[in-house]
Amino acid sequence: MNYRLSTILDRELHSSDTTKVIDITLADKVSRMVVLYEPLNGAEAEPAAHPAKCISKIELVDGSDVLYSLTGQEAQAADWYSNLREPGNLMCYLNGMTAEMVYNINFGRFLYDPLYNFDPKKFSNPQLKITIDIDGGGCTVASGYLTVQAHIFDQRAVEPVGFLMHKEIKDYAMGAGTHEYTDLPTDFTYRKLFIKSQKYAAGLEYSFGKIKLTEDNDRRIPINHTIFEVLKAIVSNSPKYQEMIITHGPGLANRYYYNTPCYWPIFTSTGWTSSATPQAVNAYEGDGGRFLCCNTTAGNNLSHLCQGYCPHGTVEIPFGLQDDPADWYDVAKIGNLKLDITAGSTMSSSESCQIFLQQLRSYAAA
Amino acid sequence: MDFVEYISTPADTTEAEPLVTTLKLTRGRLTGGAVYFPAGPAGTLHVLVRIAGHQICPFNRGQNLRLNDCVFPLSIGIDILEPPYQVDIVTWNDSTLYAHALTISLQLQPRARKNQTLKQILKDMAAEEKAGEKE
Repeated sequence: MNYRLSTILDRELHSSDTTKVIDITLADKVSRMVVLYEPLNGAEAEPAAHPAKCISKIELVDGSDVLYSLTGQEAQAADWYSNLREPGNLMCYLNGMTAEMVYNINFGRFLYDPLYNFDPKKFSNPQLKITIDIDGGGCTVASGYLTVQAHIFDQRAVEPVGFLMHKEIKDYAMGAGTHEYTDLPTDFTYRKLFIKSQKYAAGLEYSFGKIKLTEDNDRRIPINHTIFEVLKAIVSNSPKYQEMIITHGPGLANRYYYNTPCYWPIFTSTGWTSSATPQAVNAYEGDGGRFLCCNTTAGNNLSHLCQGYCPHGTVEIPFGLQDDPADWYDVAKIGNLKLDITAGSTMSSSESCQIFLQQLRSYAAA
Repeated sequence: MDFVEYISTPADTTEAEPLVTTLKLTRGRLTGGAVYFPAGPAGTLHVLVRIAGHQICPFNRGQNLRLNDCVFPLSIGIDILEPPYQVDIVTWNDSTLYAHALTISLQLQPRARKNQTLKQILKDMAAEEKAGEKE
């Protein structure tokens, strides 16, 4: 068979915060790694956060060389924008049931991309490091299951020229209307730039003012737009992210739950019970990744179809035709590349912003 | 060259919402450093260092330094060849009564040229030698 799904780590129970370090001993080239984490919900309560936050960091390193470094939420957002297809998540908040969070680490433009994939033999000791924050998300979570798999080239011989590298560049506290200047790396070609911020009950249009990308002190300014323009002209090129969310029925007392799309999420909610009990259900807010819900009969579980933009508060800025590497943003000849992000006027130091990149790392330069 | 930062962390600064101090560096290789823990914190003051979200000191994620009345030497060995040239020093303080301070120093070997390869270094040395002969 040309391709195979290989198990790197069989389903393993964790009941405390830990960083799982896995030596990558695969000989075959890897197109995609799949990290699956299942936080087990405890007693019914308002959730701590989105279940994706139970994985606080995923890193692929070779000694001190960082090949992939994103939080769980960033990993899901980068995966969504790369594949424009939702991962196989199960957003379940019910007690005694697990949520199922899938974090795809994509090394190519698509699954089994023969040109771009991860060749472990090019590195001396690649290690996958997964940091688990047991109660980082979900409802009163005290344990969870971790599984790691890899889509590998089995009998098909491919000669990759590089792989897509993902790295968080900066994580900073915002301020009201303040500028944050970030010098960006100019080592490898950019395929995508991501900017992420979440403020509950506020959409992305309130998080940022303007986004400006400038080369060599304004010699060239490839991007200089308000967040509203970016959302309407760039982000809306992507389809809506949609997911099913299963929650408790909190009754007439409102309760917050967490959702993935953060810009204009809209909910279609109904009962999720074995009996056909008529009831009124309401779900509101959702901007920033948290929604309020209530229903007429406490105890009747609910299902919500959520659709919206910007998963985990992430805005994508793609460069060039995404299937043509020659068309991506070659930054090697730029002396200084600066990103100037203006925060929204209602932001404060309680909110943070993350900048992360998807770059083409060639093996010739490794 | 040495970069030094004195950081006072207020009481009740939690791990979930720590104090993050950004130390601006320059292009080069981080080779080492030291953390100076004064007498007093008794293990309540924690510190770790990150580049973006990637923890470099201590290198094993999930761990941190929390000591008292000692100097802890750092051995790093990490290239910072692309901007942003900075590290985040993350501290938190379990004490409910007192702020605690520490001093951290980082040693960096500067690297002037962007694409400094061994081939380029040898070329530069040969040029310098030639210039010396002319003098």
